Amino acid sequence: MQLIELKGIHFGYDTYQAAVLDDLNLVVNHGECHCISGATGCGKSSLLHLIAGELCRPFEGEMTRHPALMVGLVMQDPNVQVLRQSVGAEIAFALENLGVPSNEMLDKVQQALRRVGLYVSIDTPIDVLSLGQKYRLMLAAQLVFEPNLLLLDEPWTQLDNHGVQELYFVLKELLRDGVAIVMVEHQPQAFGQLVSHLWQLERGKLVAGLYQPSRPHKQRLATLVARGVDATEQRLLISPHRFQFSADSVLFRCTESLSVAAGEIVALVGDNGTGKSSFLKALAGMQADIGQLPFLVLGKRPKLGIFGANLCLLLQRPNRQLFEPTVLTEMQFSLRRFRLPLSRAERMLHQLSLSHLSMASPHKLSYGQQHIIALASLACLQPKVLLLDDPFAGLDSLHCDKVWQLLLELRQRGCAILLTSHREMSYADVDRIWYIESGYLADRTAPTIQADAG
Amino acid sequence: MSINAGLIAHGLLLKKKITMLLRLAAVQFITTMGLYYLFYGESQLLDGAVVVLRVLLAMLPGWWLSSTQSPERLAEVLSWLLPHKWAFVIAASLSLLPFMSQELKEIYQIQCMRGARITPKALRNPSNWPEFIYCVLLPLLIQLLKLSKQMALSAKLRHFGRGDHVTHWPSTRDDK
Repeated sequence: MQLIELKGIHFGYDTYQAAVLDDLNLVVNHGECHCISGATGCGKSSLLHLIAGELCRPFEGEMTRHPALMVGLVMQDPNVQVLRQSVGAEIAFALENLGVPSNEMLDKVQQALRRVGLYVSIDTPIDVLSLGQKYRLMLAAQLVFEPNLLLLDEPWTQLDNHGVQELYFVLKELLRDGVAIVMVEHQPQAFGQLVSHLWQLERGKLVAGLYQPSRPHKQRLATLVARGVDATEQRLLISPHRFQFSADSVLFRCTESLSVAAGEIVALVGDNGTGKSSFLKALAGMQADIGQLPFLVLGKRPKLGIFGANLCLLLQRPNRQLFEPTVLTEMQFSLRRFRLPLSRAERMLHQLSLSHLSMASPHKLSYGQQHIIALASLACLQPKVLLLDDPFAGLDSLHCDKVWQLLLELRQRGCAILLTSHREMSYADVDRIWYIESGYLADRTAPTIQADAG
Repeated sequence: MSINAGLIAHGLLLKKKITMLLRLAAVQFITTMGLYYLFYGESQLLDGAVVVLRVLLAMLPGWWLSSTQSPERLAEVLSWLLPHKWAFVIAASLSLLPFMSQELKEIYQIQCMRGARITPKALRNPSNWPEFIYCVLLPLLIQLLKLSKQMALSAKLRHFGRGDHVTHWPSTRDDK
């Protein structure tokens, strides 16, 4: 059964810019799984919204929808899609709007929860769920009205490996029940044989194949030697401790002493919700209700604001720290406050080949560009310690390479870098890897283990 | 005035506690009078007292309503008066409050680390107040706008506002 057909679709956000979708054709049948890849900002999400019928602007072309077509769309970040406080009420939201009688809701909601493999009580507050669980909750909130076409926007970037695996089995079941799936994804290999059609969106058209950006060859760590850096200088010292919020159970235990030296990049790897972000915040002295922990940063107990330009922290969604009218003034803000040479900002933009953006408003940039600008405005302070919370989340490979370029540059200057990741890192990229696994934080750097960054 | 007096009489007659409200009024009285004294001096203290009294009188009907009527009843009445869409907007805005306060805290801390002059000590100097608005409140407002757009889309994708007949999730029910 043909669910939807798109013929010669033209669509653009701005009459002055090239069309995002240009003569695009796509047919989706019942039980098929289409995967669409493409560069950031090429219009993949717009295409999903177009199929869902929720595009904010008119488009040209022909769209034929089957009368029985029911579309469900799960957007990228589950946190911004939550409308209610409890699991049951969240899933029932669509049923309320469709006028399903109250007495039938309970069964439908429980069925949807089982379908996504989420075994929690329907009165569970949504706050306590992990990101992976929230993603499946959002999926359940769509499946409850039994869509026959499911659209997913980059599930891989949001989920950790367990989350991806769980989603894999849910999608497999759905395809078997005849539901069609269209997903935007750079990592189709994560969903293996489920994908029946692989597309790349190129200049507004869909062509068969996987998008692979041409990437400059990245320098490997081994070839880089930090200049004039005393590698024995320990910038971060973490003694054995138990990491827990007051009046809460222990998040993880650390039984050995850990340290990060000058000119070292250390990755902290753990699943979503293991406490990586809180750990970084505690190191920066900004995590409340965590008590006194045996941490030493630059020889001092961490406290907000005492390190000045020597300690920098990049939290998740770094675009929320932008406020200046232009990219250049944004980068110069901290330089001005810490009385450092303002010329560093321009030099940094030039290095990243982003000089053309210097007069642009940071609010109008793409997500990836905002991310780089936020990081660059910290990097030009040349801090002694840099903490980064999941700096690669949601970035395409081009922007990831720019982040690496910045980090390697800082490392060469002797900066001690600790970054977190919800995915495996490669030992070729970082000096050491710490893991939070089954309730323990430990340095498991062993030369024999070779993991792939994926 | 007389309506308020009537409400107090009715509330007290039903043995409802008014101490919480009085305590709140006392705290407000002290802070307002202090600020009036600092900014305008002794001569304007009476004006300050009038402001406090007005706020107290404005809060009295709310106290009466919430102490004499049950919350379920209030919610039910609200849904009679307001269309479904409005009830949803009010509920969604209220549920955003904890998120926004968390976001406010984080943005404040990030900007402190970036060297903004917004530490409690720096804020004692009023010339640094605009910095707080630019670096904390402005980004917060942008986040709020983005979030509300996303939530509106999320609601629309789940058929919000399509049908005329809307049902309600049985949040209070007997478990099976």
